[in-house]
Amino acid sequence: MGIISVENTDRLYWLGRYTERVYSTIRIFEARFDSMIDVDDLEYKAFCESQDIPNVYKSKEDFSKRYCFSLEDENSIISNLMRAYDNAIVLREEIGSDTLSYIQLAVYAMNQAAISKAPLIGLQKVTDNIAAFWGMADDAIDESSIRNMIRVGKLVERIDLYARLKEPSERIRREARRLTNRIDKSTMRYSPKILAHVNYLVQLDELPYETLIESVEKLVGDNS
Amino acid sequence: MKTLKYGYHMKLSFSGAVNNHRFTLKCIPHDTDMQRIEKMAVSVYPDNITSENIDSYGNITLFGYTNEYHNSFGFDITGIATTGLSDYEKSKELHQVGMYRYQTSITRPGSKIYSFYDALGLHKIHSSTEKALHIMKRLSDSFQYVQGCTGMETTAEEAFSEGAGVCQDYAHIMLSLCRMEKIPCRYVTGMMMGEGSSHAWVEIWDDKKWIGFDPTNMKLVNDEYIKISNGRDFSDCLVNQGIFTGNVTQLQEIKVIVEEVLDE
Amino acid sequence: MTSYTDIFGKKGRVEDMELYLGAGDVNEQLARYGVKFGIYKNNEFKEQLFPFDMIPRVIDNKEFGYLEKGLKQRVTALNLFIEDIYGEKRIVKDGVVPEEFIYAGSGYLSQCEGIRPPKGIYSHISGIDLVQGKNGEWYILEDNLRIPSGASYPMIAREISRRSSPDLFKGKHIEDNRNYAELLRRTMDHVSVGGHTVILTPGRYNAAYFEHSYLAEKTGAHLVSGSELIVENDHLYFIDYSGRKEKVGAVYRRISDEYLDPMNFNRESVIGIPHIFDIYRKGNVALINAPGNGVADDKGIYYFVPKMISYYLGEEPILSNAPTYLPYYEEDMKYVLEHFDDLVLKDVAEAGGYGVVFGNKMTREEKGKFIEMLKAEPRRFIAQEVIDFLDIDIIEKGQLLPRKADLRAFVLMADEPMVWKSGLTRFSRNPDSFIVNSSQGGGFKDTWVLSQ
Repeated sequence: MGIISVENTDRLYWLGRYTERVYSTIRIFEARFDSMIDVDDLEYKAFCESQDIPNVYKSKEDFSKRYCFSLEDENSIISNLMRAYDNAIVLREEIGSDTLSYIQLAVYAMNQAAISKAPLIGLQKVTDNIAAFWGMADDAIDESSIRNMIRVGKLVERIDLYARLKEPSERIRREARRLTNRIDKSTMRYSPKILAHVNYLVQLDELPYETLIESVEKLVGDNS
Repeated sequence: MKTLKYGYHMKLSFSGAVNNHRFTLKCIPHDTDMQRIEKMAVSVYPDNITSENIDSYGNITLFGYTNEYHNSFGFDITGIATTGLSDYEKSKELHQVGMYRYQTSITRPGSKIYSFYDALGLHKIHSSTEKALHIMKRLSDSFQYVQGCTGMETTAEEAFSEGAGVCQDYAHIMLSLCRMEKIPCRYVTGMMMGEGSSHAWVEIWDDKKWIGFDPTNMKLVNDEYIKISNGRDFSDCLVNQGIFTGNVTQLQEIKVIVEEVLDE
Repeated sequence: MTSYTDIFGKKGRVEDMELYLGAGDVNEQLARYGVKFGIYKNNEFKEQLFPFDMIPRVIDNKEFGYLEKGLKQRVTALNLFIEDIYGEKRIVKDGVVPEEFIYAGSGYLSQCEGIRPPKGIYSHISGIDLVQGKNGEWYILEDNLRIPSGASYPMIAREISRRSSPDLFKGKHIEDNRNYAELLRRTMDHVSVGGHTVILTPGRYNAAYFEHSYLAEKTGAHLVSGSELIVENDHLYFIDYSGRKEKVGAVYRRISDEYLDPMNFNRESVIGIPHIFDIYRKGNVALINAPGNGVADDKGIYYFVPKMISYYLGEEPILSNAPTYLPYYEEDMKYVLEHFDDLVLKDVAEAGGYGVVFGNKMTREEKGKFIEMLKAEPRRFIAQEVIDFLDIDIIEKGQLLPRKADLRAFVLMADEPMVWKSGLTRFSRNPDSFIVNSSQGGGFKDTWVLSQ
């Protein structure tokens, strides 16, 4: 087994989280955008609330533009993609140039989408590349702990996001199960106590979303 | 020849706790042609892991680290030195001491030292030792010993412009002047008989000999001196150098005692 | 002299050639793989693609054989020089190199005095910059013995070109340059004192970060930053995420001497490793390249390299310097003043194409000022004849354009000196400029060495 530093395990985890965040928020954005076309003008307000981000947008047009493409907006999709990129760029040796190139391509696709007349189509190329990145990560990275560190980040982010969107508990339970299967293989430091707590929470009939978010955020790392 | 008993105590007190402390100490006197060191005891605190090495200038270097939190750091050294075994140290040939002929960022002269140099009339003197004696004499006449007006980082030119300073400044100015004459010369940190702080002087290379000059006291180095380290300037001879984690202020106390042991 | 036209046949229409060379594809692919270098503009970090021109520089087998011999000879002598300077100093004693050129320059580090690195190798990776004159003659422009960069660019460009235009490479007998990683690995392993081999980077905001990470991937060395390494009990360790300490035996450091160790060099450095230099002194880790090499690649020392070759090896130099004058010597000063307009003047302290001025491009006033400076500090400058470079074609906006280009050859020192059968060809994008440095907006080409 190769050697890997604390900084880089941390980066792999966050690479998983940010790619998931970008992927899922693009998906969610697409759905919201659809209903904003002719149904509800103010849909984005509810969206901001669910994501726990300040609603700094003036209109749905402003929201569409800045939430997707503004680097000044720290909650925007592009800002999250750049965070994924910042983590990936220093992991070339761990994940390989080929796998890394899909993150680079996602960044190019994002910049293209920003100036495109059909940003939704452009954003699809971003998700295509992220999906390809995950596929490559699974296929081309030999070290199973590295693959699983990215996976763990991805699943933690997903549970977090689903909980914020108050998704049905069945969906969240499924992700929690997958996370439980993965986390030991990642060899990352995590708190078994918190993992047990997460698993307990997702079994409850009335899922306490806030508590779950708090819990899952603390699962990995030294803050246990 | 004298038998000298010496003690060197250094203590750094921090205003708060620090950790991840890495240090390099050049505080241990070594044997030379002029002195022999015996019965030495060294202790560095707090608990730490330390290695020893010899640097490029021939000085004994202790380096190490301590990870635990601590509020103070220091060392105590005691020992016996036999001094005055010779009037000089034997040296390598001229081409091998070239690095000591060139100015460093600390000794580099500015306009004040230049004009002082011009007035010295050194071209009339032939031997390096004679030149050094002349420089020491004239420097002593035009520079005053005053504590507190210069600091650790003060350059030769700055100190000379000030007109006053401590032994470190005397040494740097003298090095600056000798190097303008292309005389190889080095900075020395050491101890002198009596009680107080550490001392600094210079050594001049003349015909494969290193000869010690103490411009602060305007005399040649003799059996009242114990040498600890030498280098191109003060920065090669830092007694204590360290980095640590912690946002604190620090206070350094140094106590040096050198006394003669007389036969019973 | 071989040119790409010998390989491709006569110049056709540019569009055909672009198509033939897979022009668009390669740059797109280079972007995909993040082949960039970082620059600071108005204090802001920006990553720029390094523009690639697909017409290769072609060097035939015989010609490269000659370069190879000359480069090995030069680097061998430079290594002996560094060893001598930090040791016996015979060359000074014998009056071949004046003492001043060693001690008054910024390249000499007194901290390295008396240190003999593992296997006695100082310059493990040397980047030697050459130019070819119109007469076909090659001249050495500069030796880079500290941390020469650039090998990764032709490496990855070749990888991509072979994919985008396989036909181009069929039956051409071109030496495969993708073996650079193996040469580098061999070089690092040769001096390792046992344990892991790491590549130490100052971080992703360094201009050559792409190269650091790419070479780590290709050599299988670990890319690390200073904070991941620690000196304990006289050895260097990498701290694994589980807290385990893994011994490191060789560090290919891409951090300059000054920042390598705050306890021995710049005390303000936060990217270095405290005490790494102390255990290097004890022989417990190999540093690639050795600290203090700057004493041999100073522009002032350059003048003396042919003399070093004769002095240490007792051989005639195979490769020549560009004709150089040292105003430090009276007769050279006289020549420089008399032929000022025909010369290029270089400040020995500056690097990267800065501090270079052409005599004939100065105004009367500038000239007067410069000559004053020259007379006050003759050691600070060298003067060189302006070489009439052989131009190399590039394709820009559908046109073939001649441009100035140099060649950085890489010599790696393991149990024997090895010359990489390729090199980084850099060209100036500005037609009037002789300066081909990437930090000043140049581009690069692949360098093909023919195997027969």
